[in-house]
Amino acid sequence: MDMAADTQGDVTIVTVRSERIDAASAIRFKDRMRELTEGGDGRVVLDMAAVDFIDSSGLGAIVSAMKVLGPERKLELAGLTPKVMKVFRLTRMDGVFTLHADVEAARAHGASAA
Amino acid sequence: MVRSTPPDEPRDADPAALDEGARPVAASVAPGQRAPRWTGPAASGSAPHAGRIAPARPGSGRPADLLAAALDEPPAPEAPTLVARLASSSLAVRGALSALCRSARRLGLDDETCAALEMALAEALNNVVEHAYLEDPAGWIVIELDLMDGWAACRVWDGGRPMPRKSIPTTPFPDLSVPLDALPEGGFGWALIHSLAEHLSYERLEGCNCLTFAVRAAPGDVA
Repeated sequence: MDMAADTQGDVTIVTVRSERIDAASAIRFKDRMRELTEGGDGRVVLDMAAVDFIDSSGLGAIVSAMKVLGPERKLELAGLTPKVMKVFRLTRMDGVFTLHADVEAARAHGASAA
Repeated sequence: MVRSTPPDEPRDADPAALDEGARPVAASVAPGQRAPRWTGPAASGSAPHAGRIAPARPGSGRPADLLAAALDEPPAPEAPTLVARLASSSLAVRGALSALCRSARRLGLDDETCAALEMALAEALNNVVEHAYLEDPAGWIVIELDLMDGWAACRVWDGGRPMPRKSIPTTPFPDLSVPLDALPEGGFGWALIHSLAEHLSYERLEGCNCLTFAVRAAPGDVA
């Protein structure tokens, strides 16, 4: 699971560089999310622009990552590709997360809210 | 654990395909290859299918014929058939999905249908790995895929544990109007399959699970 984090101000952008968040990578995804976000206290934006496919295990892993962050830190999602968006829409998870078109929109959203 | 093989399938037909790893099925996905003639135990002894009689049993004939029967249409004409054999591991599932979708697209399946197929098939296969084989990678899975005009008809075989109550679960999507820490992290699989696929059927045939379904691009559905 190729993931990297970049923290600027109170926003941590976690970029997923792998094409799939699926049953084969769900556990690794959760571990990496924990490693990359622990210690911080601001918003976390998950950049999924490179993710072409997600299954229900991957979806569950993202929900799990949101719970790990706790109620004080928000997990927002950016750059959902069409197939990924479809899974969020079908499961109605699109109503649970704040979704942004891309990372820039996510940053701007934070700036306007601040 | 039950370790039977698909009907008429030699046990060691393709040991290489059962290797767990990065390219478990690429070699066993053969565009244009006819599906093996697994007429199924229920139909064993009958004449080999020739695509002329739409079979009534999920385990016999081609997936395309099953769909034609469900749609009350004449038997489907010769259609490209893809077959994949894989081990029961999530890594092998990933490889099979990629290989099948690549081949299906090359054979002309549109992007939308292909996306729906990949999603539905992923959930079906993950269920096999997790529930039928309880994550034991020594199990086998065989996928047959018939490509038709606007449709993809699919059949999945495995030799793992039967489906609970020997029927397809009809669990709806989990309720999301709950506190954050109670949000579900699973339980979406079958609901996703039901929302993406049609004409689902399941049979337990001589120690094998046989699941069939069809997928098409829904009008107005942006993948």
